[in-house]
Amino acid sequence: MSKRVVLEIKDLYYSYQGSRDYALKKINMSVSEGEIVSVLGPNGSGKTTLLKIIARILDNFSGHIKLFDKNLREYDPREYSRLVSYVPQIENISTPYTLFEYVLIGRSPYINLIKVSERDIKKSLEAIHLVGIEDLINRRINELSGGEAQLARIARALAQEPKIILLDEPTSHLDLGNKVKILRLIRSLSKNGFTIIFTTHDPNEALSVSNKVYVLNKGSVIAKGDPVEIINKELIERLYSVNAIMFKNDRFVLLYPEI
Amino acid sequence: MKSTHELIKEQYSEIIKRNRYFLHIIISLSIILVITYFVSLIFIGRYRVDLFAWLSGDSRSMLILNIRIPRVSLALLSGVLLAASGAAMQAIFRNPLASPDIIGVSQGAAFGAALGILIISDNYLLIESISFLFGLVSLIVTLSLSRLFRYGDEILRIILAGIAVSALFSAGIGFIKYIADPYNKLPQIIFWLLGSFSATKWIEFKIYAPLIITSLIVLFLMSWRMNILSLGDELAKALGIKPGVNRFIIIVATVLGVSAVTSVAGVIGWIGLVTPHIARSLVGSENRGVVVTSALLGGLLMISADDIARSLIESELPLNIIISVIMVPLFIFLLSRRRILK
Repeated sequence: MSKRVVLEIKDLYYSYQGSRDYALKKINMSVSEGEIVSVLGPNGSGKTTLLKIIARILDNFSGHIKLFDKNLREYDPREYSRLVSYVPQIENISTPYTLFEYVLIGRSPYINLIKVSERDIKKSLEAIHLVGIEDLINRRINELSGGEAQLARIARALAQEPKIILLDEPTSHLDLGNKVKILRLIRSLSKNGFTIIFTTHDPNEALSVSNKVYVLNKGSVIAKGDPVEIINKELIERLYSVNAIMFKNDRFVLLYPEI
Repeated sequence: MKSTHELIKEQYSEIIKRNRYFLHIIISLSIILVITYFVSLIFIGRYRVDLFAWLSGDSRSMLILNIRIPRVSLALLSGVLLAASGAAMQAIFRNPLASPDIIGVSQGAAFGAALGILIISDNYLLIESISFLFGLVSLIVTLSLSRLFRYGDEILRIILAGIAVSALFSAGIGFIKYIADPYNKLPQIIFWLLGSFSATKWIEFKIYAPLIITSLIVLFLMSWRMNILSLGDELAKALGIKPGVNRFIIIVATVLGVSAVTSVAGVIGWIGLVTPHIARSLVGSENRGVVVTSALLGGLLMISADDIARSLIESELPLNIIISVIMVPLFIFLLSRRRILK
């Protein structure tokens, strides 16, 4: 049985103010419930732009985006932020919030002016536990390590109780251990019913966790589908101008660039 | 081994306990503030108020209180407003060094007052009105300039425009001082710039207190939004609010309040910058607590500074000197220790 389509993008075009070139050209995309979708591409290919459009951070696009069969622009912003949450690549926050205070801010779509409810506190704690950082609850977010901070950001996104989580290059600044931790978390979140869209420039990440990949190059989708079928030597050469060797067995596919 | 459910329950009660502790701090500060207010009214100043005589309708005590109530009350409100708007500015400009004068309002209002003294001299009410209007003008100029800029994001543009507007009005103040009559008007301008509530009467209270109170209500109601804005515009949008509109509301409330304070009391620094940091060390960084706690601390500091100003020596001392003398050691102490809240 095919799962329900939660996000559908048709003929999306976007160009930044003052620029004549399209940052995104004729993007078509379809994401089903519970899927892990990766958006793969080199730096500057438009991955972040695409994510920001879905997160409603960037407006002024042309084309159609439907979320749960309703046009993106028809949603009230607050209502929308209860469905979709966004984790940026980096965040610069000067206020020394504790991890709990920070995650609680993720409840904002449910908070009217200044009234924080018991439910808001409980949902924030649940998000912190789901991510597994309950030991850090009283730590200041500006004192967390890179990996811990990324987990904190994901917890904040989860506190929004979203259906779809957008992660912009969630592993790009992390060491191997933390990278694996985040990728495992992505997998377990999908098992918990969340739909996940993440961007990456690493083909191995797309191969290891996503059910579907959209390959972006210079603002256009040049390939899409099952990552194991789509990602190959030719594609990598075209995207990154490097020669790559593919290793395949029944458990994994790995791509190794020739240096 | 505890289940997740039990752990969450435990942490929940810890958070509630901590929130209750913060609430106790806020209540204690409120009580101290109320006591300080009444002590300042009755015991501090050149003349002592005899409470019993006053209650039985003594005209002399009535007279003293009639002068003191508007002054002490407006000092209280001004301190509260400056501190709360300092907290607001630090949150929305995402900068711990921000203070209410970041958008050029204080210098604008100061220029207005200097200009008023230069051309009018003795009608205080009119001078204050000019000062207040120039505070608002400086906001309009700052925001228009920031729209003209093509450099940086919206926050940086407003800050840069504020710096430019401040510099311009400072130059204007310098020019007015240069051409002012050195025996009569110049001392008046300088004393005004150093800050004082000595000219505050009921009429000022009636005009400016409602403005300040309105600003305070808006700032308090927007204090959760300050948390959202402190994460940056992109996340604010992703969390379902319009950052520009919310920031605008907070800035307008701040400017109305700060212009009102500056027009009656002069440019008063430090309180808006330092009190939010003290507040954070007492009640954490969540801005609802920070705004309220800063406000109470600001009120307390301003009343105390005004008490010293009107009672230390025979003549009135300028507020800014006293505030700096109180705040600088506090500031050094604050920065040289790690934190109160573990």
